[in-house]
Amino acid sequence: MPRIVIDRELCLRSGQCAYLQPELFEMDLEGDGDPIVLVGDIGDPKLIAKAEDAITMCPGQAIRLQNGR
Amino acid sequence: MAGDFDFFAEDFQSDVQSHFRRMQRECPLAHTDVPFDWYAVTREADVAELLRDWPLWTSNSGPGLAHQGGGVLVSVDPPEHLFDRRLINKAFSPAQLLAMEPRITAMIDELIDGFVARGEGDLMALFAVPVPLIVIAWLLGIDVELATKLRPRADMVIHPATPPGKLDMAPPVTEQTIYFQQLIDERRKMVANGTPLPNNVLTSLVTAELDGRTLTDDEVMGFMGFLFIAGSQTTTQLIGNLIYRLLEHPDQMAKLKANDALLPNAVEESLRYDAPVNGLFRTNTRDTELHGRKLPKDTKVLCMFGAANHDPEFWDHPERFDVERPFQSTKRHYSFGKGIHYCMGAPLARMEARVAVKAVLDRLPNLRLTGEPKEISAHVLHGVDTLPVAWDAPAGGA
Repeated sequence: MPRIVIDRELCLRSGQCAYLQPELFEMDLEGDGDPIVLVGDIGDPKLIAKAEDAITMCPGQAIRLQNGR
Repeated sequence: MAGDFDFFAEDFQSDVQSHFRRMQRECPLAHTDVPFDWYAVTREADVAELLRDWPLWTSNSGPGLAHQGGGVLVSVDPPEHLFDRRLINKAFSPAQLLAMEPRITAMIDELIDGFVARGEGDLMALFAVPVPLIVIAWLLGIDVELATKLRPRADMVIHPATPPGKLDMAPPVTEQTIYFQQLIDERRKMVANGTPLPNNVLTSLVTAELDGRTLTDDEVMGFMGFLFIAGSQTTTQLIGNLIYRLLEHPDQMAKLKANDALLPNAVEESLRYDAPVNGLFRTNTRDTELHGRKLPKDTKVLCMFGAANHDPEFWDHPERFDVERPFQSTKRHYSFGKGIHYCMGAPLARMEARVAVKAVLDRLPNLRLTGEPKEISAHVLHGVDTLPVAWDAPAGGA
């Protein structure tokens, strides 16, 4: 099952993922402001569609879905 | 003037950073009464907090000083904001925008072909103004020549010519309104006739249906007007600011010329060093307190991006313009805002500036200032309005 991976170097900390898909992402405001992925492996097509929306709209193009471990 | 600062004073505008430093030290919540009571925050931590807490610090009253209801995107919070975003997300996705790079590169090359033989001129009028205008015209489906003629000015946010007390948005741009209405009518006719539709923002807006709702002509017009201005003038300032700083710092120019890989850093450092938009307003939705001062509901507070970008508590040597500053550091700037209202055009602006500056460095050798650049008059913007330069024209030119 795929899981969501964020490239920390590409991430711009815009907060767009957490805004558009709050089920999947949250901004780590206690830490350095990077987004946190809230789910592990995802199989639900609805959640995958939501992840893909975040991937498409990420201004740093920093998010992807990765298969396996 | 009574208060901590006068944003509209020439003395303030001509040297914003020294005023920002003083405000950060002495009055982190700075008050002014020109032309009525409002405030500004300048510390990075405060700017971050106000942008984050949108339920308290709303954009629903507009990003400018004039208290405005209605509007799109920059002027609304969720749930309306999310609706607006979903409407244009597809046409404005970063991947779509970045896919325009080859076309933009070719256009920029052609533009330079048109003036390179002159050997001198105002690089704003010749270059930094038309590049973003042409790109946004493509995106929106506006005729390129007409876009140049209509060239919108960001004076709309805080109109400098408006006397205090009569502060309002700029007067309606009638020629633009008439033209946009024609475009909308034509596009609706194409939809009705089943004519194949071009892939641009106008098509997205006219055909959009979300939650069973479609957009009225006025709403389409609101989107078009906002994107037209947001997509052109700010990027013009970015391109102008970066070239100006490189001319001012020949050592930095030399480093950049020697290493293309530094281009993204240089663009990011320019965004940090010279925020094209000094700041945007937020308005509190209830009585609150900030730095010990009680702020009644509906108080306007200007979040100074340009000040946060130089906050000495947040940056090492913020006063240094350094194209080698690591991207991982510079990317923390506030020039595109942060959080829900993060600039949708950011990937496009970054790419346009990178391509544009590379073309200038490659094709205008020995670029040098020939006079003093004129500052832009719109108070909310930061940058130059003219950039008088000369370069070594190719042999056999003119």
